[in-house]
Amino acid sequence: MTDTYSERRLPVLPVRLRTLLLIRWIAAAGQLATVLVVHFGLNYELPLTYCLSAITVLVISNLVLTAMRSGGARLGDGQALTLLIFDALQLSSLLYLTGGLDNPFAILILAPVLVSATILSRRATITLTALAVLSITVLAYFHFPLPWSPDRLVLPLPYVLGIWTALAVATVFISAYVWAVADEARHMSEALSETQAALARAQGLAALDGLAAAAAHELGTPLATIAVVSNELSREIPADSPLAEDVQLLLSQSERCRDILADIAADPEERGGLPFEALPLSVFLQGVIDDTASGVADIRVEIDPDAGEDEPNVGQRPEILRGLGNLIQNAEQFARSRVVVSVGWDVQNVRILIRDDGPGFSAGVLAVIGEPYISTRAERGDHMGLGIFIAQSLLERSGATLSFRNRGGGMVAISWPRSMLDLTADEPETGH
Amino acid sequence: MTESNVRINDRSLLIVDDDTPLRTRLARAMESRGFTVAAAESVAEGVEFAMERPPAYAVIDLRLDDGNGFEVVQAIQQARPDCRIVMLTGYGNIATAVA
Repeated sequence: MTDTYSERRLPVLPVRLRTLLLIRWIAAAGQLATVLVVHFGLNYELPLTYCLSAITVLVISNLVLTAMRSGGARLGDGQALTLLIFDALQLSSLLYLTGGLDNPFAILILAPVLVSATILSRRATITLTALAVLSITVLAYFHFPLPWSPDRLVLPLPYVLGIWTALAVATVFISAYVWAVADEARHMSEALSETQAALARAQGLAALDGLAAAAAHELGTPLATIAVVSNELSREIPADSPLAEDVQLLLSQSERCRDILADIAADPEERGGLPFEALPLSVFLQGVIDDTASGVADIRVEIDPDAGEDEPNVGQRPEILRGLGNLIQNAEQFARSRVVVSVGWDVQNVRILIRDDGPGFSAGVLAVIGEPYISTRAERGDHMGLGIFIAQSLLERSGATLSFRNRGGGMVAISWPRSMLDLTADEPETGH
Repeated sequence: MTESNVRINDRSLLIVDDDTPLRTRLARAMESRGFTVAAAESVAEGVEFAMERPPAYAVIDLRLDDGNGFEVVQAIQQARPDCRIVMLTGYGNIATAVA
């Protein structure tokens, strides 16, 4: 089974155009309302024509976009960034006309920055944050006077600097924090989707194999009847009869069917097996190793000497097949030359230990293991992080507890309560 | 043992299989080879036969409609330990079948 694991830094989900357009409509409406209320309602005179022009530019751009693309269109990171830069500049120009940093609405410069922090890439967010800080720096010195009457209101420089500091700090800190939280949520959700997809694929495979095996199983009986009849015919029909050849053909082909069925039935590990078909644990493990190992390291199965006589019988459950397969592959990749898989059991528990003789897990990795995207072998182009996350999720789903340690190399300990794993029982177990 | 003397001449055969075409055709084939064949199509029937007239030979399908053919095997072995039994199984995994 080949899998493509996601890249370490996932491509950011593209933005829906409709969302961005809506935000901009609200911004335009808000700007318009504020300008009108301040000028006509509160009678603070402002350069009305210029302000309305700035707002009109925003409105026109929104109309153009609405006409150009269907609402369900999605924007890439770069396109959305361009739009947000445009918005930041438009807001800055409006602030320029209405008092710069003296204007309390200067805080709205946070808006495009936060939109980027929640849905765009880190690069885009950093760009917008930088632009925002640059804007407010300019606006600290260069701006039309704040609309005020009867006299001009001039805020002392230290106070304006205070506003600048507050705004700059707020912009940087809030955007960084929001971006980090959103990024984390995105990665978790991508990892979960990957895990679900992986499980669905494994279940699909198992179902298909189960179907094939069940069909083979059913075919056995009618083929047995055909074999009996062919045999009887070959005995009845004299060798020199014109039918003799045909009867021989019937016989030989029914034997061929038998061989094919035997072939299918002989390799339950290859076929995936019926989910409730049980194998002794060591045999099951050897099957997983044969399926997943690439041969770069020597892998051995050892049975714990003080394990009991009654080896548990394990069903071919896709979660376990795949989870163990991932862990064994991982051990193999990191091993210098050997991987040992030891198996032990008693009345209560079943334990599997996967040990490699490689450098082991680094301390930083141990701290976050089981998180979706740790990776220390980026150079090799494949990724341990998602593989371990998937393995852990799948095995825990089957009832296992996992722990990761270093014991002369990396060691993964997996243990199940025996009742969750062992299928040797008087009554047939219903599949999970 | 006297029982083995009896067995040499005893060609009684019990076939237990829930698939009718296979059961009847196999019965006919074995009769043409000199066996006295009784056929059963369920565990219940098989066990009944085993207890009333335990056969010298038996061919038993493990997977029957009403249960596991192994019950019939056990019933025969209790009634007639020297019976030679052939078990039919669809399980490719010998470990599972024998277990």
